[in-house]
Amino acid sequence: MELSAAKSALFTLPMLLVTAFMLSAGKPPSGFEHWLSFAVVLAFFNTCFFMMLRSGKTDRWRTPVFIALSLSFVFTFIAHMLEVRGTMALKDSVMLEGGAPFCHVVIPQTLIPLLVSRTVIFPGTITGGYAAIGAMLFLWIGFSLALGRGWCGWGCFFGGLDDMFSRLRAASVINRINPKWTDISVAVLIVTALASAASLSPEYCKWLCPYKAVTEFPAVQNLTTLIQMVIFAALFLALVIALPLLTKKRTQCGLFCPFGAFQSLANRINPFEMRVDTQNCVKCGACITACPVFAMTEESLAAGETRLNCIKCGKCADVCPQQAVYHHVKMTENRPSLAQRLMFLFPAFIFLTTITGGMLLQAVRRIVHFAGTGSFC
Amino acid sequence: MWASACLVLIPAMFVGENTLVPALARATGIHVSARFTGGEVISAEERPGYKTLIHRPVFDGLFGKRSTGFIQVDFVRTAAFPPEFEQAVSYDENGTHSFTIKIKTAGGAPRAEISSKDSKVIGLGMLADGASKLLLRVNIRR
Repeated sequence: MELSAAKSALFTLPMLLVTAFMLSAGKPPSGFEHWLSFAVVLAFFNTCFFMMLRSGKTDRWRTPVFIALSLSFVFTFIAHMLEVRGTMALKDSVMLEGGAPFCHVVIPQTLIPLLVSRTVIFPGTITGGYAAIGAMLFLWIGFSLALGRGWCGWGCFFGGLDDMFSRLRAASVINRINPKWTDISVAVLIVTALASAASLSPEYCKWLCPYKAVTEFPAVQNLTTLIQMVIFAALFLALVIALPLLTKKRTQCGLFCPFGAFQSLANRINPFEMRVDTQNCVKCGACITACPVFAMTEESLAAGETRLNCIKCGKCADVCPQQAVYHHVKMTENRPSLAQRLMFLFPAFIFLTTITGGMLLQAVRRIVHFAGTGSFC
Repeated sequence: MWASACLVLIPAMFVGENTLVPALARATGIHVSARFTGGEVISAEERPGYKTLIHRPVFDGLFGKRSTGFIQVDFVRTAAFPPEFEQAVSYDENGTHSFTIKIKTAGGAPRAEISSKDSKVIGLGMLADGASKLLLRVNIRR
């Protein structure tokens, strides 16, 4: 669904205004470094959005921003930890003082105690502080209602890492993976949610989160914390680097992440989905091969839809030679429509750029500062 | 209709976050589990160089009380800690259940010893040296 340059520019204008407002928080940047980073990030976001409309390729122009989100998150998170704590290791004292940053992956583990006793089983703070629990829960509820599991394609600050590694090779080495393997993530979800409720401690974070390897991890003090560190590093190497390289799939997101499995349920309650025009579809299977999270199968294709775990990244639509796959608003006529595509792209891209904006601004500012002074701080 | 509302919902979420989140937190009454915060402080004591905060015994489980739990005691620096100090803690109303904490801060990382004649006191659970305080947990039975 390509658009003319004029139409693309017209539709990019509101995005330019919204992103400028979000990036500046309504105030003009002060100083050269702030102005430069603001201009670079604003131009980057809006070029990607313009090209998304102009070329009709959603995933191709979503990807640079999504990967920038993860890279800038890791960069700024580590910089923040080093500045505040002097280490990436999470000490007992920080946990007891409620200083651990909360992330969305914890949410399914906390839900049972939250519903039973309104307590959050996480060593953070509800409001205030860095990555507070209340803010993350708020954003998650709003996003889930609006875009469902689109979170994993448009909002997750970890997902860009395995997305990036899944794109580095031109061709996959492992080609056939049964989509039934996605049930592993459901099993991880059930086991960790129940174990967390029983122990009143987020067990996935303690034992299984691969992203601990690049964010924060418990200070190695004994055999238990050493084993935890080894597990984090091994899972990161296997699920975020090696398997995405070999399969060209987002294996951590598609096969293991309990948040992703949980978020699939949110796909039931939001208005957007990917649809397949079965009249136009020639069953070439390009979308099945391209889907990074195993959400397209021959059965789903025949039914004209994706599986429940679709992340709405739009890669299937990008690769379809017949343009038979499209973003669709539920309970409307089943045919590709520019209005429906825009209705999805605007909220999704605004969420992505707003989540990314602060971190990317900070990352660019630190790099500009480093170029001028030789120091990141 | 719902799809159109999403166009407003997403930007509004970010704009209203700072106002709405504290209001929602208050309205829903969600709070961090006492297993992480240590529970409410039930007594405080000023000493030269530091202040002692004693938290309530925490036995909180998912549906009821657990058979084992802990008491958290915070030693908040107001100046420098003495090289060695003691704190007696009684955690019931009639003073039946009690223990004494002995802290040594001289020569490297702080060390703690727990002494008690009470069979319900299991022993030291955790000692953490924070930026502004020493946090200590003593494991106990109910």
